[in-house]
Amino acid sequence: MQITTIKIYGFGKFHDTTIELPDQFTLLYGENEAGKSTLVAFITSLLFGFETAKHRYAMYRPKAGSQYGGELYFTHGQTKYWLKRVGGTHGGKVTFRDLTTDMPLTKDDLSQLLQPLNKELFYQIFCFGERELQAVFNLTRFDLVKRIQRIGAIGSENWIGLTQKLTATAGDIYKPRGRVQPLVRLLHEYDDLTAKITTAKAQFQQYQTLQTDAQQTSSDLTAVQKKLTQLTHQQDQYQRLILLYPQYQQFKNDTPVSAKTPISTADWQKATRLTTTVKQLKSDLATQTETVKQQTATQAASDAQQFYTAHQQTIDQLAGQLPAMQQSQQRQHQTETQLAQLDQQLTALNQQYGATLTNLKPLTSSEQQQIEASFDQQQHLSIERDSRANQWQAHQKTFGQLQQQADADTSSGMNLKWLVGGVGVVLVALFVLSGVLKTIGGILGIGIAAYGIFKPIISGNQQSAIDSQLALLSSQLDEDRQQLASLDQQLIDADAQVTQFGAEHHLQGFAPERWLDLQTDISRYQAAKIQQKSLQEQRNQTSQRIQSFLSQWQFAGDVIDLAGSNDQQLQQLSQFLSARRDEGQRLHWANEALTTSTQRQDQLKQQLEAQQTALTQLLNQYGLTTFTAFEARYQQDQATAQQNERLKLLNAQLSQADRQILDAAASQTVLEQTSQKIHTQYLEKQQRQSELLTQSSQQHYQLQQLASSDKYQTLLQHQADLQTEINELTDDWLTKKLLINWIDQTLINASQGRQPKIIKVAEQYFQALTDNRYRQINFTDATVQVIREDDLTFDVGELSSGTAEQLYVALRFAFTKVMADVIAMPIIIDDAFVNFDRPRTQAALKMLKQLAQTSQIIYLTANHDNLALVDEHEVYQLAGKSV
Amino acid sequence: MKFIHAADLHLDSPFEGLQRLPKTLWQRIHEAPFKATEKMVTNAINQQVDFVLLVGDLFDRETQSVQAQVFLNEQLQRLVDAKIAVLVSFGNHDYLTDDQQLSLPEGVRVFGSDVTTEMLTTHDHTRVAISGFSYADRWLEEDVVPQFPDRGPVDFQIGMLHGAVKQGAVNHYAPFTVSELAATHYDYWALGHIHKPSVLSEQPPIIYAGTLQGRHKLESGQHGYQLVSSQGQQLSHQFVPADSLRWSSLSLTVDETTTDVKLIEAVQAALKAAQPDVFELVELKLAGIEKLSASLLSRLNDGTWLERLDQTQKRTYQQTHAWVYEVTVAPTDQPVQYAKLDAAFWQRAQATVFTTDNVEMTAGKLMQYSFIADHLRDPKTTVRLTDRAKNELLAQSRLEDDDDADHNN
Repeated sequence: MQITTIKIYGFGKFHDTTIELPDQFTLLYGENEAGKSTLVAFITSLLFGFETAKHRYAMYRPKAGSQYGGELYFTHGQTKYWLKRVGGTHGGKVTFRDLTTDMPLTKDDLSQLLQPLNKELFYQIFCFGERELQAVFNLTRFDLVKRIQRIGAIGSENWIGLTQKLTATAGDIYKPRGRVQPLVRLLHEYDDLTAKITTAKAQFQQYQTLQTDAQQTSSDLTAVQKKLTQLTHQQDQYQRLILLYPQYQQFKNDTPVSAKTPISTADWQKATRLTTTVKQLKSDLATQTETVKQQTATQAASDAQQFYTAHQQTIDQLAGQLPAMQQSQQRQHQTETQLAQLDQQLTALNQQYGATLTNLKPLTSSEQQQIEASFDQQQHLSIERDSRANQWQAHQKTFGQLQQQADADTSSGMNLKWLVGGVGVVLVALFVLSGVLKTIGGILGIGIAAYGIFKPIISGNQQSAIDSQLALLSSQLDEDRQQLASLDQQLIDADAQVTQFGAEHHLQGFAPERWLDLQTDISRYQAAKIQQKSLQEQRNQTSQRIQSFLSQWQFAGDVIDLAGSNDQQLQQLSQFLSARRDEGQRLHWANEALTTSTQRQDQLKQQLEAQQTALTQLLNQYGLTTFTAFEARYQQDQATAQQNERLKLLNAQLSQADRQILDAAASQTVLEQTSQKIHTQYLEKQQRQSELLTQSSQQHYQLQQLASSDKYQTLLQHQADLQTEINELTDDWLTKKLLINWIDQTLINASQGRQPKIIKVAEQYFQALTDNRYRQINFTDATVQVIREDDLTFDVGELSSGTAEQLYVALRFAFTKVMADVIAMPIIIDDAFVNFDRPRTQAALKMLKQLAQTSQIIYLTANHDNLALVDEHEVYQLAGKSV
Repeated sequence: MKFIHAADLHLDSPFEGLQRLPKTLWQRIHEAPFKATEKMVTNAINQQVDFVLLVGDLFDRETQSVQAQVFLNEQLQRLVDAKIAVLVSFGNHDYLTDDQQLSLPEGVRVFGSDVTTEMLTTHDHTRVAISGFSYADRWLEEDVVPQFPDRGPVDFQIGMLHGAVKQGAVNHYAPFTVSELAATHYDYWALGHIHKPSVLSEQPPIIYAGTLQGRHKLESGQHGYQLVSSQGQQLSHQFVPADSLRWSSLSLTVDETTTDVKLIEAVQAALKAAQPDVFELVELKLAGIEKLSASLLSRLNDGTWLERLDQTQKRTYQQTHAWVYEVTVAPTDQPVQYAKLDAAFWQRAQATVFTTDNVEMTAGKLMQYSFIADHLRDPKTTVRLTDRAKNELLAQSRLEDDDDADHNN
């Protein structure tokens, strides 16, 4: 295909631009931003369709209002075509026409024509960008070789890029010598787990072994237990035989002793009982005798009692009177008291009258009337005299007053007292007081003094009246004095009359006015005197009676030490009698007790005798005298009987085997030794049994533990899970590895398929690029070799990097050349040689020229120098910003 | 007459193909084989069967665990206690050796390495003869069927055989042919070894009971045992599920609108809609990935998306009764976007690169691990690796596109 005209309506920065490409080789020059890449995109878009909105920036929709799209005129296989593509669905609206036949064609026809290319493939095969070549220059030697080797495949660069990416991802999963990758880790984990499982697996073996062991233990245990039972029996037998051994020997040696008449147990019991009773009785009797002795001792009566007993009749008779005496004595006391009271009374009366009343006799009633009349006369006279005396006195007084009055009036002048007082007041008023007070004081003082001066003058006019009265009174006074003298004479007569009466009746010791009153006390006094006398008599009688009673007791003087007052003596008697009564009672009881004790003593004596007789009889039966001997005999008999019994028993106990053992044993010691041996064996077996029991329980516990543990299965399941995970990850990793492998293999296959042609072309290019220094290229499985003009062979790795890159470029163009032979498409180079130096660029352009002989070359460059390397007609200048 | 035919209990064997499970779920999975066995035994007792046939691989010699051993004994003891006869023949995993350490409860009848016959009279006075044998080694390459005795004078004759149908020249597990078994005129052939329950023949019944509990994704679907009962002279059999976990798959198609979250929601919705009665371990299969965004595709490829799903699942699996343990991205129907001019080279390279040999070679040191070696030697792995490589290429080329788009301005 050769594109002849490019017509752009609107695409990216281009609008209404037409580029003519008349030659096979065209250099499109444009500075940066001139739109070189846009132009490449326009060509591919026109051929293969616009990019979808998914790749917005690759769409190059024009910014200005121009129509999106454009036209291409091209020749393909001798036929001229016109292609128009504008914006629309599915890559744009296509108008396609065969200009040679002038036939309209369809979009499908276009695809058909471009088969099997698509935009991507076109890019991969026919477009060279700066990026692509540049990347090669940065490769390591190894990668470069790889690239070179795989250059024959379409899009090998991309595929190699993918494999590199995949290698990295695969490396993230697993590296055979890695440490940290997940698969490596999992494998380590798996190894650990496997080790654990191996350990755990042993559990089963362990279980089986344990089971066998447990069974063995169980049977061992049964055997040991059986042996233990046997040993226990044996031991029992020996223990028994050891005990029996002496008896057995005895039994063998001695024949049983037969006693004469053995004391029966009943008799022994009886005898024992009797002995005990006798002993008891003796003891009781002794006690009783002692009691009697004591009681007898306490029964002796006192001397007083003995005396009492001797004179009981007399004393009892006298004692019968004692209460009466005591009563009398009691009354005597009362009499005494009464007497004392009378005495007091009499004394009081005597004291009252200051003299004894003893000689006075009470007045008779006539005497009383007589004296009463005397007293009345006396009284009468006395009253009259008194009134006369009073009258006289009154007259005398009046007389005196009048006389005095007359004296006073004549003899007295000024009253000085008043005068002196008045002067005093004036002086005071003058010197002490002042003002009004001075005046008042002065006046007052003068007043007082005046009273003193003028008083006698006032009273002088009464003097004559008084003198008449005084004469009258003096006569009356004389009359009065006569009457009084008569009256006094009458009174003296009356008094003599009374005094005479007093003397007649011994009353002169008393004031006459008390005589009548005295009569009552005189009567009382007389009565008291009479009573006193009677009481005194009574007292004396009683005293006498008591004295005589007491005197009757004189016979008991030694016993009852009578002394002191009657009272005391009676008291002593009473005490004596009371003591006798008490003692008599006590003696009576003592006598009673003694009698009982004595009876009991007799009883005991009888019993003792009876028991002793019985015992003696019993002892006699066995020809024995003492119980001690009897007892000894009985014990002996018992022992004999027991021995006989034991021997009998022993005989019954011994089996044939026992006898054999016993007969075989030389001594008890031998038996004991054997027994000891058995015991030792027993202990050993017991120890063994306990060991086995422990072992058995341990084994069962372990068995149970193992049975309940699902550790092993858990581990197995974990292992299975881990296997799954590992396989999964392995698959992941393998997928990537195999994919790498696949891509690589495809690239190699593709390269190898095209190799002969590519190498042939590449050799020419390489020669051109290296200025004929190298002449041949060889591909081997491992590497690529080149042969220099001097026939020296170089491995790619040995080449300088520049030469290696040239080799790559040669091969890369050779590939395009080969592919272009199959599908003739223009080759578009977008400033691929930007980094080439001038000679090399020149060489490259020379190579391109060569290539242009078969394919159209569109070379886009921003390097102005390149313009010099081509013919002018081959250059098309893009309208850059400089244009 | 009634009996149970079960096989391949594999009490010791772990579950395969699982990772990063929540602890409770893990526990549930761990218990599943035990539960299944317990269920079978309980049903045997409830159904009052006359005998139980266990046709090999009760456990794995290589991974025999005490716990499993004790458990098995307990369960067998339950049967013995219930007066149910138990007949055991050992298979290639639990093969019988001279130093047989396994002690099954007393009363359990174990077949020796030669074919012998056990006679039984059931409660209804049916006379039954059961012939079988145990493996004496890991492999048994000869056909043992000729050693089985002729039908005896009994009501029912049953054969117990742990083995695989003859295929090709080399057979390691007591190879036989169906016609050969049919020719014995036995009334029932109780087979073991193949974990998938399958009926090879209805008349006479030649049946694989299958394993009681599926342990990896190849053992999908329900698992259990056969309950066989006589009806006159005929035996009718019935499959009884005993598993508490099932392996299944869920296929979803994605398109350009699918996002990480939408895909998680779609999975959750599908699981909720399914409402399985037995807990399911689900393999998610995605189709239509060529339409997916490159980033989501790569997250699907590298497992990040599944990790995200796990976070959601941890919250919901108790309700959905399911757990997605793996995502398989189906390879795109469309050819990979490699250069058309070079398509032939790609295909040629693919043929040389994606071979088991090259896989092994590439794996290198990893092949030291036998489980990795086994995995990689499996031709299916190569196929899967090829698919994944293509997916990866697709994802990568898309990422390139995106990158290019970002670069070109």
